[in-house]
Amino acid sequence: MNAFAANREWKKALLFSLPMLLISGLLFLSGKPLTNPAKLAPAVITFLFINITFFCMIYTGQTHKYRSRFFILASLLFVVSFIANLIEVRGTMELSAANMLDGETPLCPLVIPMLIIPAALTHTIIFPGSLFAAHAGVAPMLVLWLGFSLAVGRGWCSWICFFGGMDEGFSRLCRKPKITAVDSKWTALPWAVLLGIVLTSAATLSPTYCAWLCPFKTVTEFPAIESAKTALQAVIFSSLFIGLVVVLPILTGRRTQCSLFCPFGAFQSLFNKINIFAVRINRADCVNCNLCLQKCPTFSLDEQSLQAGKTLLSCTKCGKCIDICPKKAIAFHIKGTPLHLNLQTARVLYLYPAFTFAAVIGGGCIYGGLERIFRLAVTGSMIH
Amino acid sequence: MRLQALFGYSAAVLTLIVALATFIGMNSFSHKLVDVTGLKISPWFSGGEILGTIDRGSYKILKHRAVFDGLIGQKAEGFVQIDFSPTADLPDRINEKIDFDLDGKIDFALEYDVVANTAVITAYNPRVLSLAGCYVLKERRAVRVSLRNE
Repeated sequence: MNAFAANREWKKALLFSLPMLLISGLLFLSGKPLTNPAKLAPAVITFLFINITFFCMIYTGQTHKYRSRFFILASLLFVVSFIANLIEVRGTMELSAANMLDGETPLCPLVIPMLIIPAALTHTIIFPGSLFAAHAGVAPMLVLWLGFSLAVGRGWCSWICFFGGMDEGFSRLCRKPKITAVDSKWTALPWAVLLGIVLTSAATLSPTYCAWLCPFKTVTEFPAIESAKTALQAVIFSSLFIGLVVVLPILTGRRTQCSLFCPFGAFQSLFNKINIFAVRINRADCVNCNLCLQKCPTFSLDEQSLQAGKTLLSCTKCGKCIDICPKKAIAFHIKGTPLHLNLQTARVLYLYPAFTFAAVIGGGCIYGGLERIFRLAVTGSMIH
Repeated sequence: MRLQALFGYSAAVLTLIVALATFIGMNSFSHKLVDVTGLKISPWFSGGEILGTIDRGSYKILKHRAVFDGLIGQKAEGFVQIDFSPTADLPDRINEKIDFDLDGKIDFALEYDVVANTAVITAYNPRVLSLAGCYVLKERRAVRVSLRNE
């Protein structure tokens, strides 16, 4: 690229990044008390990080590389801010029966598939939260989930799921996978888990995944260990976390919790059917090197899908296959538009909504975590 | 084909509008969602609607409805929740006789030790099974008693 062309590309990227500057300024900074110096620095750093990340995505044409860094950082800082908040409010990460009766549990998106049947038949939410709580109330979380699912489909799992960020973080620690062959039959397991938890939750009118199977209880809140039952639950939560979120991602280089277990991920796949964005493979350019198939973090490509020029329903639209394809044969695509034309337009139109959600949700996590860390540095404690 | 493409690009642009609207209209959409669907928190967690209040001067006793709600129909067993508030004005011990089904007959007697947060119940109605738990909540105390459905 000569100097003139480079200069033009730089300006073009800046121009495409300006809307995100406005959007993130409007959505992320609004409501942040910027007059307080202790909150100003984390807010400014987060705002800059959001916009530099988006600019880099546009300028370099690399999606996965910058998305992944943002996603993992948001996830790590979510854990910091969430735990600090729990300690501040309750003094512990334990969730007691009284906390549940008080409706103090923030609604976790992973619960959503379990809510649908009881909500349809009884008009009740089988979750110990509050409808309009300031922190992850049931109704705002449902609106967020609906909006995102309509806009980006299963992109949820690669752009705003703070749990997915942990899985991705550990998978990236893997330089050379120790386990390369994972039987594709395992990718059916999330559907089985989904079916099981939806039916048992409807039958018991309580979210059974949260009670028995959620690995992320280990790093968020968990039932107070007061009996053999709650001790067993704690063993299951921590074993699943260590196995699926830490060890297997490190050994395989893939997001094993997200792709081989998470029922919410399976559920979100259904939204890929109605979502306008997809990932498509240009068969004319593909040389069948199978790199995309081997590196897809969520096992969303197989030989059949590759031949068909499509990803599987489980695709989280993370952009990794697009970035690593040596022939640039894979691209974001808008359904209904001509294949393999206007690739840049499709990519930018996808990045705007996906990154808008990431900027607000992930940005909120990054800000929350940084604010706690700054407080620790200044006062010696993360909590008030 | 052209029409399809036009629809595709329009839908893609619309997704950004959906993203913006999700955040800008979050509060209003949340309230609309609850209004339209009539959703509420399951009584198994919230304790169910309050049927009556007994004024004891410095504090109040709130009787919730008995909860047997199932996915379809009712469950064989449930509970009734009794709340005491405000917490600051509660006496050390509370003795109450409760008519949970409002039939004019006492169903159980409750002796609640507020300081120790323990309770003993004496059942007068065979539908009353046992004490399910005592809870220290933010602005109230709550006692749940297990019941058998008729």
